[in-house]
Order: sequence, then C-alpha cells, then structure tokens
Amino acid sequence: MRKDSTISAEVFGSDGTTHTSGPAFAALSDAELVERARGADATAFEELIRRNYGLVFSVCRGVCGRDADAEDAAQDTFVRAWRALPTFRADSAFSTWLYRIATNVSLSLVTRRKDTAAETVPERADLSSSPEGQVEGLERVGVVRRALDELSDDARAAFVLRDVNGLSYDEIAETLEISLSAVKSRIFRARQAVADALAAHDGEVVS
Amino acid sequence: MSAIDLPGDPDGLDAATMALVGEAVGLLRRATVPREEAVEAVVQRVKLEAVFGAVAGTIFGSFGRVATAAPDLLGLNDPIGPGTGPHNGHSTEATE
Repeated sequence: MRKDSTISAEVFGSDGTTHTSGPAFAALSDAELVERARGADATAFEELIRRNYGLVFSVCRGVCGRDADAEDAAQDTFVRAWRALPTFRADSAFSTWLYRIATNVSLSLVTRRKDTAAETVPERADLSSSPEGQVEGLERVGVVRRALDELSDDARAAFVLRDVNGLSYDEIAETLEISLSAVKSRIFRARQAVADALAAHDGEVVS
Repeated sequence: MSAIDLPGDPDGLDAATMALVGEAVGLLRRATVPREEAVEAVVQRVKLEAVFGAVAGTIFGSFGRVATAAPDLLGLNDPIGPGTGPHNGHSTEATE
C-alpha cells in the first residue's frame, strides 16, 4: 500500500503512524502526487484532496445550491476519484478530471433530491467587514443563487464551470457531454438571468 | 463588492450585463467557503477506503491463491497436461 521512498519515509513515522502530508509533499506537482497515489499511497492522495478541495467544493456548491449537499458531493467526488485512480490516463490535468467527476456527482445529487423542498441554509461567508455591507452582500448572494436555482441543471453547471471556475468552453462541453454551441447558449442564458436578477434587485432597492 | 473581470463574452452580452455577471461571480466566490472540518472528513473517508481496499485485496488475494492451489491439493491437476505423455489414450507402440 505504501511506496518506499524518501518522502514516504518522512511522512510515515518509524512507528508506522501516519502524519499530515505537510511540507514533504508540498514540493511535488499534482502529476507526481497522482503517480504516488496510483501506487495506493493514500497520503499522497490526501495532499491532492487538500490542494483541490476548494475548487471541487465551489463546483459542487454552484451546481447543488446548498452547502450540505455540496459537502456530500465533494466527499463523493474524492472517494470516486480514489477508486477510479487506476483508470485515470492523465490525458487531462488531474484537476480537470476532478471537475468532471464533481460536476457529474453534483448533477446526480440534484436530480435525486429534486423533490426535496429547498431548505434555507445559513450563509457562512464573511462578505464584508461592516454589518450593513454584510447584510447587503448576503442579500445579493441570495439573489444570484435564486437566479441560478431557476436555471436548468446543465445551464447552472456550465455557468459555474466557466465563470466561477474558469474552464474553457471545450472543457465544459467535454465535462457536460454537450456540444460547444449548447455550452455557449447555456452560459449566455445563465449570465443574462443572473444579470437581470441583480439589476431587478438593485431597481427594487433604489425605488 | 468587488467584481470579477470575466473574459469577453463571445455571444455579445453588453458591458453593463457583463459587469453585473462579474459582480455575481465575485459574490459567489466569496460566499463559497469550504469548512476545514469537511476537508478532514474527506481525508478520513479516503483513508478508510484505502484501508478497506488493502484488506479486501489481501482477503480476495488469499481466496485467489487458495482457489488456484485447490486443484493441486485435491490431486486434480495433471502436471503434464492433457493430451500428452504415455497415458494419453494413444499407444505410440501401436503405430510403430
């Protein structure tokens, strides 16, 4: 399960206990960590989790629409990635592969929970240092999220992958398994919806 | 609220719309904060998977070795192989 190497020796204590991956793995690239993880080195994979959790969580949060669902989806994403690691061919970056798994897991979760009534989840974000700004920021986030919730699942996913996570149109087409023109139209629709919602909110606040 | 500079929209949304989209993206990014406990939960879950996989591999590997060895142990294996040797049903003397 563990690979014999200088780095692994630093990571695993002489008593056989595991330690946080920490600086021993910090110098390694994702590709090098993937190679180690493919040899069933769970500690190398732990470093990959820590590096990529934020990106995966943001995809899951954007698609799922709820923090609790996003955490479930993010966990499922990494477990599936761990299991499927032997089949990862490294044609694309590891993070792109994770995006694909995260998107599919999130879309499946959303489909499964379609009938569940949406619950109000308290926001965890600190959007502004001033209480007034924080309230307004939370309101605006709510406006944006409600606009995204009203979109189709793949339009929401396309928007999140493009604008929040910065994937290319080609990568999104591959991830969602839809045509390039379909990606463009979904992103167009999502951007328009989000902008309209914010503009309407601002109009209400002003009037 | 800081807006995000988005790449140009190829489908022709105007600058005002894209500015609002940039603001929305900025809001979403700032509002998406992963919890450290959630990261740790994933790490622990994957470690469990790794241990389970290793144990399962050992158990099924043992089953595999027993299954491979069983015909030998029961004397069912023909070490020479079918259709070869002096007891293969054909007499070499008869043809000579």
